[in-house]
Amino acid sequence: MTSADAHPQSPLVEARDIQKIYDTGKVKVHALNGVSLAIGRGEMVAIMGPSGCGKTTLLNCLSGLDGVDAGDVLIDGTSLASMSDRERTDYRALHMGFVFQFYNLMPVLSAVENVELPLLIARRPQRDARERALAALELVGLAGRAHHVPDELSGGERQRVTIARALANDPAVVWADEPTGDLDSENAAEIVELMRGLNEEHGLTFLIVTHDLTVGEQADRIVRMLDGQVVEAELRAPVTT
Amino acid sequence: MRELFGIPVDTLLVVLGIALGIALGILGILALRHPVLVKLGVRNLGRRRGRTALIVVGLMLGTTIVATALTTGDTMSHTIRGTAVRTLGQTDELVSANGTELSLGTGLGSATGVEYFDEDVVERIDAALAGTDLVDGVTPAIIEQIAVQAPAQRQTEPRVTLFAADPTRMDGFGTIEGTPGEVTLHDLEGDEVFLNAEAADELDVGRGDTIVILVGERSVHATVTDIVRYQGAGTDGSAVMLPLAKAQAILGRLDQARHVLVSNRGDEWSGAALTDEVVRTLTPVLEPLGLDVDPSKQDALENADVQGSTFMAFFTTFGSFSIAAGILLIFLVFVMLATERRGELGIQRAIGTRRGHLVQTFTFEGAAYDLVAALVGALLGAAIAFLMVLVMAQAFDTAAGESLNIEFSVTPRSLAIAYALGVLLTLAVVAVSAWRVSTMTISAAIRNLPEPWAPRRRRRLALAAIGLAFGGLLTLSGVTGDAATPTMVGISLILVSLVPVLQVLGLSERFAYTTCGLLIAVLLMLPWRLWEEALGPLSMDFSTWIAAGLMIVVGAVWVIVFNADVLLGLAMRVLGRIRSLAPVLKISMAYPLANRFRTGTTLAMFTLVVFTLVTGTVSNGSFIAASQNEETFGGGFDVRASTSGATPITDVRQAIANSPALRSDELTVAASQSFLPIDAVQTGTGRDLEPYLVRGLDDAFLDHTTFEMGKIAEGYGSSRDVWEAVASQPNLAVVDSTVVPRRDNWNFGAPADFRLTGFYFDEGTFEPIPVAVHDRQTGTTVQLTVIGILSEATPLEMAGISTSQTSLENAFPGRAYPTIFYFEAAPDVDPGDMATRLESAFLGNGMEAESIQKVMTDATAGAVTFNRLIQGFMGLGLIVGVAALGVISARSVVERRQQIGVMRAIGFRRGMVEASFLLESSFIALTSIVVGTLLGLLLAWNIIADTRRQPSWEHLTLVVPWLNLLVIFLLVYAVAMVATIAPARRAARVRPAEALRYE
Repeated sequence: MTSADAHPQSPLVEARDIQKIYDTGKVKVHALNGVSLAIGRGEMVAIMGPSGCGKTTLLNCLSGLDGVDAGDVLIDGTSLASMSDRERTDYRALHMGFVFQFYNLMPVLSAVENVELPLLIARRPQRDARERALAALELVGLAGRAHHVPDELSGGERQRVTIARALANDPAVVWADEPTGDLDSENAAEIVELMRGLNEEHGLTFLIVTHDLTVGEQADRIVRMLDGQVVEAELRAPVTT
Repeated sequence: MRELFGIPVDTLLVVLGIALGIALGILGILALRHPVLVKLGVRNLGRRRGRTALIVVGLMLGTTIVATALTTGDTMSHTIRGTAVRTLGQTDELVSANGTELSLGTGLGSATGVEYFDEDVVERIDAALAGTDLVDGVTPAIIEQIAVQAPAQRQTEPRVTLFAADPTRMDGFGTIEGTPGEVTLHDLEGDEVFLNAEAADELDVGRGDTIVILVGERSVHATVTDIVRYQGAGTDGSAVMLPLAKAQAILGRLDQARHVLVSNRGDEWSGAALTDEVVRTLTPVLEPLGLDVDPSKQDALENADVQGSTFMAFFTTFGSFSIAAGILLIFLVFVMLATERRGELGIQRAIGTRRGHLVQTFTFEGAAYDLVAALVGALLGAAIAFLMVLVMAQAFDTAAGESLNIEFSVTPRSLAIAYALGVLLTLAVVAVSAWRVSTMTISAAIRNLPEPWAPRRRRRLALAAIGLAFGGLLTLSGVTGDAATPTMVGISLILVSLVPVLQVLGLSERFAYTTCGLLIAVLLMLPWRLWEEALGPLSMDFSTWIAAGLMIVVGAVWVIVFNADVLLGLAMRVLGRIRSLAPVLKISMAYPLANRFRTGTTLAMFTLVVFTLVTGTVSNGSFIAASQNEETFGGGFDVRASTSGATPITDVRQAIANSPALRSDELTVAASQSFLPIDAVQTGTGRDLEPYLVRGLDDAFLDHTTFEMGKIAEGYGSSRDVWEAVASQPNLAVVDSTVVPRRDNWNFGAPADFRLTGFYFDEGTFEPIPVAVHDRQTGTTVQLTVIGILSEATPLEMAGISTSQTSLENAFPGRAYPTIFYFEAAPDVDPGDMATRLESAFLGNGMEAESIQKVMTDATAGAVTFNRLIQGFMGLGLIVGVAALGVISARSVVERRQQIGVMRAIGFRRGMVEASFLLESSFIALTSIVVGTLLGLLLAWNIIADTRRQPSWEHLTLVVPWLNLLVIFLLVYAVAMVATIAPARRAARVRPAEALRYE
C-alpha cells in the first residue's frame, strides 16, 4: 500500500486503498491503484503529477462524483460507499464546494444566480440565498459584477465566481480541479492567493489538483502521483504573499 | 381531382417535376464537381442514428400532411367514381324524355311528367350509330323506383330500383353473375325475377322466395330465381331485375321505355371518352323526338373529381398551419445541426473551405435527409388518409343514414406531387439555413464563443425598406381590390419591417419587437367590422384565416419571447417559495430565456397548433350548435317524406283521409312540393340557360312554413311577407343561397352553374330579380321573379327555385305533381312513429319518411364526427411539436452535458435534473396552450361576431366546448412531456465525473 497519510489528527477526508478501473471493453485502465490519503480539517493540499496519472480521478472519487471499484472513502468518518447516489448528492450540496478549470458556470445565469444556486438546492429561502450569494461575491471581490452573465466576465472573474459558488454554502471542503489551468499567470496568482486567504482566514479545507507549481507552493502539503499511485507526500511551509 | 392551391393538378405535377429535376440536377452537378463535399455531408447521417431518425420524422411532416390531403381527395374521388360505375355499369349515356332527369341519385326530389316513350326509338339510335364503331351496346330500358314486400319475411322496402332491359340487347352491358355463374334476363320465365345482393339482404329473401312488387294501386307477385351481382342497374343499392316486356306489363307501359341505355366501346371507365362524339351523333336524331342524350357517366366521373378536389382543398386548408409548423421545424432542425457543428465548420473554414462549400456540404446532408423523409412522409400520408377515410365513412353513414362504400385509393400522381413538394420545400429551407450557418466568425466558431454582434445597419435598413415598400403595395392592392388577405398581410409586413427601423433609431430590441408584435396581434384580432368601417368592404376567404392566423401567432410569440423574463420572474416569485422547486425552476426558466430563437420557434409551432385547434373546435362547434334548431331546420314541420316520381300523390290531404291506417286529425298540416328539373338563367345577363331545378310549393306549405329568408328583396318586410307574396301572386319565387355570390367565400364546394349576380348575399339589398325558367320537355319558358334568398341554415332539401304550385302548374301544365311532403304532427303524435306509419300507408307510392328531428340528429352527428376528423387532422401538427421538443431536448442534453455535470456536482439530484428538462418543456407547452387558446377563442369570437352580422346567422352564439378543449390541452401537454421524457431521463443519468471531462 502506498501511504501518504501525513496528518496526525482525525482526518476530514480519508481514502483507504482505493482503486478505480476504467473498462473500455477492450482494455482496462487502472486509473487509481491502491491510493490511501488523509486530509485534515483546514488543510490545503495540492495533488500534482503528470497528465494521466490519476489526479482528477482521485478528486472525483474523494468528492463522491465518481464511485470506487475497491477500497473506501470516508468523509468526516462516513463512508461514501455506504451512501446512495441521492445521499451523496445531498452531501455534496450541503458540505462540499467545487472549482473547475473551465469555470463551469451556468452560462444562462448571472454571477449572483450561479452563486446562489447551491444555496437554493440546500433549500435556503430565496432572499437569504441572494444575500449570502452577494456576500460570497463580495468576498471574492466581485460585488460589482453580480448581475453579469459569464460571457460578460473575464477568465479570472469567472473563476472568482466559481470560488464564490463553492464558498456560498459554508462547505467543509472545496475540491478544485486545475483552478488556474485556463488563466494567465497574473490571474492565476490572484486566484491562488484568494484560495490561500480563504483557507487561512476561514479555515476552509482545500484539495487542489494542479500542474501549476505556484499553486503547489501555496499548499500546506503536496501529494505527488504517478500511474495511479501516490508516490510522495511533501509537507511544506506555505509561502505567504 | 382538379386543383390544388388553385393550380390545376396536372399543371402542378409538371411544374413540380421540372422544379425538382432542376434542383436535383444542380445538386448532381455540384456533387460531381465536389464529391468530397458529398462525402462530408452524407457521412453525418450514420453518426447518430437516433437523431437522424428524429430529423427524418421532423422533415417528413409537411409531406405527410400534403399527401394525406391529396390521398383523401383521391379516395373520395375514387369512391364517388366507384358509386357511379356500380350505378351505371357499362352504360355511358342515358337517353330520356326531355326534362325528366336531374341526374341519378341526387336525393333532392323525384320529377314527374311525360317520362315514357316508344321503345322503337332504339332502332333510330341503332341507325344513327351504324358504322361509327362508337358503341358496343344499345338497349331500351326501364329504371324506376318501386316498393317491394317480402310477405314471408315480413319485410318491406319502400324504395327499390326496378331495372328492366331487352334481354336480346344486353351484350355490351356487362354480365349478370348469379349463383351458378353467369345468368341472363333471358333465363327468367313467368313471374321470375332476379334480386341483387343488396335487395336480398334488406328484404331477407333467398332463391325461390316470393316478393310482392307494389306500383301505385297495383301489386304483382314474383318469384326470386336468383340473387345476382350486376353493375349498371341504375343504383348501387337495392334492385330487382327483369326483362323489359315483363316490366312493361307490370307498369302498364306496353312497348314503352323510360330510357335507352348506350354503352360506348371500351370498359366501364374508358367508354366515357367517346361520350362527346356519341352525344354529337345522337342529338340531331333525338332532339326532334323530345328526347335528351344525357352524358351520365362522364358527368358522374367529373362530379367525382370535383368532390375529390373539394375534400382535398378542405384538408390542405386545414393542414396549412401544420405545414407552416413543419417548415419552422425543418428550419429549427438545421439551425440546431449547424450550431452543433459550429466548431467543426469553423475549422473547415480555417483550413480554407469556402463559404459556398460549407453551404453545399450542408445542403448535401439536408438533401439526403430530405429525399428519404419525403418518401417516408408521402407513404405515411397515404396511411393516415386511409385511417381518416375510415372515420369519414362513419361520418357519412351517420349523416346519410346509409352506408357509403368508401374505397381507399391513392394515385401515383398524388404521391408524386406530395413527394416533390416536400423535397423542394425542405431543400429551400435547408439552403436558407445553410447560408445562415455559413456566415460565421471563424475564430469565434473554433473556440465555441458566441458570434460577435455585427451591426449590419445598412443591410437591415435596406431589408426593412424593401419590406415596407412591399407591405405598402400589398396593403394598397388589398384595399383597392376590397380583399382582406393582401390588406392584412401587407399591414403585418409593414409592422415586421418596422422592427429593424426602430432598433436603428436606438430603441431597445425588446421595445421594437414587443411594440410591433403587439400591434400585429391586436390589429388582426380587431373585430372585422372595425376593419370594414375603416377600409370599406373587404372580401375574406380561408386564405385570410391562414394568413392572419400565422401573423397573429408570430406577433404574439414576439411579445412573449421578448417579455418572458417578466412572466418567468412572476412564476419564480410565486412558485420559488416552494424551496425544493426553486433551483429547478431557476435553471428551467433560464435556458428558454437565454435562447430566444429556439424558444420562439418551438413556441410558435405549438401555439400554431393549439390556436388552429381551438379556433376550429370553437367556431365549428358554434355552427353545429346553431344548426341544431328544429324550427330553422324543419321549417315548422315535423316529418319530411318523398315518393317515387312514377307514383306521385296529387292530393295528399285527400289521400290521408282515404287511408284506413291514418286519421286526419293526427296531422295538423299536410303540405306538398313538386319537383322539376329545368334550365334557368337570370334575365338580362346574356348568359346561357343552365340546368337547375324548380319546386312547386302548395298553399299549405306556403301558409305554414317558417323557413327563414337570408335576404329579402326591396319592397318586402319579412320572411313571412315573402312566403305570403309567393302564395298570393303568380310567378314569384325564392331561391336557395348557394346560387348567390358572397363577398366572403368560406365554401369549398364548386358552385352550381346557374347563378344570380349583381349583388352579394352578405352585403346590401337587392331588387327583385327576373329569372327565365325553361322546361325542355314542353319547350315552354316562364319568367319568375325572385324576391327572397333562403337562409344558409335552410337544409339542402330546399335547394332550387321555389315558386307556388299554382304558378308551376300554370306555366307547365301536367308536368309537376307532388312527390315531396311535409307534415306537422298533432301535439300528441310522435313524429318518428308517424313517419313509419306514413311509409306503411303509402307503400305503393314508394314513400320514404323521416322525422325532422331524426334528419337533424343524423346530420348533426355526421357534422360532429367530421368536425372531430378535422380536429384530428389539424392535430397532426402536434407531431411537429413532439419532434421539435424531442430535437431540442436531445440537443440540449448534448450541449449541456458539462453543465449537467456541474449541476450534479453541486447537489442537483437525478430527479431534479430530469424535472428541470420537463419544466422547460412545460413552459413551452403551457405558454402555447394559454396563448394559443386565448388567441383561438378571440378569433373564434371574431368569426362568430362577424357571421352574426350576416344574413342567416343572426342567432349564432359562441359555444365553447370546454371539455373538448380540455382534452386538447391535456393532449398537447402530454405530447410535450412524452417528447421530453427520454432526453430528460438521459440527462438525469449523466455521470457527473464523466460529464465534467466532456468538452
